[in-house]
Amino acid sequence: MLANKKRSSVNQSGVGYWFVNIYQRALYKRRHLKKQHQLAQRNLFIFPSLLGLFYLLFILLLWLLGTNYQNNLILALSYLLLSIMLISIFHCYFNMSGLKISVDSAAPVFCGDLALIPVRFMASEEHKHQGLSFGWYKSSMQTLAWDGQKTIHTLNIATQQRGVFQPPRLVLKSYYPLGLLRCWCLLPLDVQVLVYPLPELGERHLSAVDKSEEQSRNDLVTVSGNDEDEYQGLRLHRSGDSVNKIAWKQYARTGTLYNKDYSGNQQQSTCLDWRHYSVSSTEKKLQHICFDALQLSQQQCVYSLKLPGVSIEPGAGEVHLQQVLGALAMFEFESHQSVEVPIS
Amino acid sequence: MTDNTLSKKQLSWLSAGMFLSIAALWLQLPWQILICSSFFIAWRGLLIQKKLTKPGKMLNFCLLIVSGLILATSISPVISLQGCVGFLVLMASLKILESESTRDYLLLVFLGCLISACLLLFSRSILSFSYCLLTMLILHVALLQSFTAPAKGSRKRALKTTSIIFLQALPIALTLFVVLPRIGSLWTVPLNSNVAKTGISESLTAGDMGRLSQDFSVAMRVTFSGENRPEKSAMYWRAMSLANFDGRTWSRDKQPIKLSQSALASLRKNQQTVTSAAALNTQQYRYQVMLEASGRSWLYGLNTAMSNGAKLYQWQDYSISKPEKVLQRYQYQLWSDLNYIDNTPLSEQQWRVFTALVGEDNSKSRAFARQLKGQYGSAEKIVSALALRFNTDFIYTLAPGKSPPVNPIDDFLFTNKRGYCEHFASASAFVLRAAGIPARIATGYQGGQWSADNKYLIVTQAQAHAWVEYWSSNKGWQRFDPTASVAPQRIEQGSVEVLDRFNESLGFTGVLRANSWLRHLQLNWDGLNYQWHRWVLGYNTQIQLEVLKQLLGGFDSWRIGLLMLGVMFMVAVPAAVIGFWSSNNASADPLLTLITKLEKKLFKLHFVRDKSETIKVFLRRTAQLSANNKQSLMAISQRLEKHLYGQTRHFSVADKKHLEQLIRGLK
Repeated sequence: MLANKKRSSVNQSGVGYWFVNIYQRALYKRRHLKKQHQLAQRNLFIFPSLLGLFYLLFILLLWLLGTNYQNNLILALSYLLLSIMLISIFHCYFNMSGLKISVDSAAPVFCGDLALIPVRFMASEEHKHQGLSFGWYKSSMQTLAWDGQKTIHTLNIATQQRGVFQPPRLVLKSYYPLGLLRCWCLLPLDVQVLVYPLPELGERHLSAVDKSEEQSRNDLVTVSGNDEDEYQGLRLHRSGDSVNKIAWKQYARTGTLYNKDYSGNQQQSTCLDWRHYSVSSTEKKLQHICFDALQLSQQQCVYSLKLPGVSIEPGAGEVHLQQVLGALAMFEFESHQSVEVPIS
Repeated sequence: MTDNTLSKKQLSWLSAGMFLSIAALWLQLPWQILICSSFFIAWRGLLIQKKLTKPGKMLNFCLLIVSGLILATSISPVISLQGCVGFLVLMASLKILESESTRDYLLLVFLGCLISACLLLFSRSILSFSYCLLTMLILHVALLQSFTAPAKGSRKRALKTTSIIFLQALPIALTLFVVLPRIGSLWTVPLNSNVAKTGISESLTAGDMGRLSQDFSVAMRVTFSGENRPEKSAMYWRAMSLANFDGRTWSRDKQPIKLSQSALASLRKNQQTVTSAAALNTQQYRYQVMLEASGRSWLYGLNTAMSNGAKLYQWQDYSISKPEKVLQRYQYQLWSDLNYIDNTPLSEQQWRVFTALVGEDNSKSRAFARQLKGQYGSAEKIVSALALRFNTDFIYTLAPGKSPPVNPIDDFLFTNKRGYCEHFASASAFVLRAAGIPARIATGYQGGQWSADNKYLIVTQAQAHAWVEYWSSNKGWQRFDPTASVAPQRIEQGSVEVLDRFNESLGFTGVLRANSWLRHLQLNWDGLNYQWHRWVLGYNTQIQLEVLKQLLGGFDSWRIGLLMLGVMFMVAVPAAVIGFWSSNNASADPLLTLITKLEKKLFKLHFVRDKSETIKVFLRRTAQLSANNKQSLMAISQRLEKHLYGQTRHFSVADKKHLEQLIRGLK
């Protein structure tokens, strides 16, 4: 394959590509999203590549040569090349057909991070799918290297918006066998990536009404208020505990990791309330809440979430965090595709 | 593959293809160009091995200038077919030297294909075409190599894949070749004009034919349509008539006149009446002549031949010529009626031309002619008297000795009396003219040799011949071949001798004489070549229409479409069958096929497996029922169990063989 960026860009803007693309766009609807695609007539497209167009010109040149010199052999040669081009349509098609492409699910990411989408390629029994390359629609392509009948490639793509991210269609293409034809397909993969807001440190203000409530609950006011906790003693460090709380002095002395244990962390609940964030922009607010939630989770605090229309009971742990982040991601997220949210 | 580096594997295929395509032109191009291009290719080879560095910009420019100079000095004129091909070869070799990107690589593949196609402009034999196909194949492998990921054994696989594509493309290409219409030249192109002039010339001087009689190369090949063929003694392949005589040399009219419309019409009318009568024993022949490149424009035909093709000229003396010179093998169809007589009276001017004799030399012969005229009177009688004289007293030989510069005809007729066809013809024509009878010399070939399969006639240059045509007032122009009366065997046999000489000229006479099969092989090779030229090189619109009519019964587009579909189907079906077969073989689990086999065997022994039964239960039940198979069945069951569900599920060939043996052993 020609992993030639210049060429691929030329082809992607080519007439045939554009023409088929209209058809493809009509195909690209929600109901066409699939967990698994098998390449066949209905999703494969074949059109002469740039090289193929030159090849046709060359055939024309030979034909002119043969006709003008009244040379039957050169004419025969031009017909042979034409037939080779015809035949390679079949080879091109059978090289791609039967290949199965499937996706499961992708892990959620924070906005701006790369979403990692594992794509599984399964070769059909009878064909060796040679010279294939793949990539997201309108982005760079990579070669498909086979390692046995099955192979998994993780494709990444940058996320730009909080919410549910639908990756663009997966493009598979091949110039097999002679590079004269380009066989390609655009596969809408049924995989959604939950994109959390990008965490950002922000200020949390308690309004007058809430202040008393808060104080009566004897809650933590600031996120970095660890020093004010009541120090209770040491307990053994367990993996997953926050690094912040490790008692380094004890470690130096004994060689064992201990955590400084503060009272109240586990019992007292923080409420991450929408109203406590002064920033006007919704996105900013969500980013600040996200930051706080992560912080609290890291400190293994109990916290709850209150957004307009959404509220999550106090809780702690990984599952709870996921739930909270999921709610933040989906908050007022309007998808024209009305994607259902898979909250872990 | 990255954009800017070419792998060694790719380059090796490409350079092999380029080398083959350029090397094939060694006969066609001057050696300077070939040396120059092999120098560039060798440089590239050293570049791959890192023994040399790339030429810089300045040096590159110098190389360009130098190769341009070489081109200009070695080929003249530069604007010719050879010049163009030479230019192409030089540019391609320079490109090889400096190619580094994929784009250069692909360009070179195209250039290689073009150069190997150019070979066919010069040589159109079967071998050249096969060679060209081979080069194309290799260049396409190079193309394939750049579009598949490099892997182990990919060199072999690439060759295999490309060969398969070629094999599948061949039938389709053949159909396109047969079906697609031919369009004549769209514009004039420089032709390869270096063809040496061979065969009959426009004039006849003593010694001309003698030179040809040593030349056993093929002049033309003729196929008669139908079973009706003339006798060899009647096969006078006439090129033209020579009417002007200057005392030594007979030559053709400088400005020949075209056959008049009325004569042409009567000829055509004669053809139609005869065709409708369809009598077999009339002397009417349709035949196809394939003329070797002669460098001259006239064509050969029997007697008063007529061509149905519109592009040929027909002259008043019933000779036929092509508008341009025959620079490559040329095929044409003629129709002849050996009995056709054109007795339109000669005009006064014509009469003058055909009885003209310059000067007063050869007085003895003139006196002899007057004596004959007085003795016999009519043309026919004078001719037979001449023939009788030749028959009794003259010797036919290819070495008659030098004829004197003065009175050569007197010398031949009364002193030397030795000579070959042109001496006899020249003397006869002179005597007839001196007797006041219009006469002219006709030149061409006489006879021929039937091919190995007796399908076509081979005429060699050695069969070049000259004879006399005289005017008879009621029969028109009549042929008189004085050689026939001196050496009738030359006319009637000739073939054996010709064949022997033919072999001799190839230089391995002894071998050929000892092995008749070698001689046979040679004739067969000639036959193959002939069919190649007839059906492939000479395939034109006329033949195309005939073939399509025979093949499809017509040339409607639906018939042709149907043919194309049929061929596509024929190509697709074997490919699909092979694909299906191999996929079936690959996907089937050997254990499952074994179980199916076992079930079939047991079914023959009247044990049927229930739908609900597992194989183990079924085998146990069967073992209980049939005592003689109990042991082997238990063994099979055990093994199957082990392979199907056991810890080591590896199933080797030996295991399979053992199980098959056990299954076969069931009674």
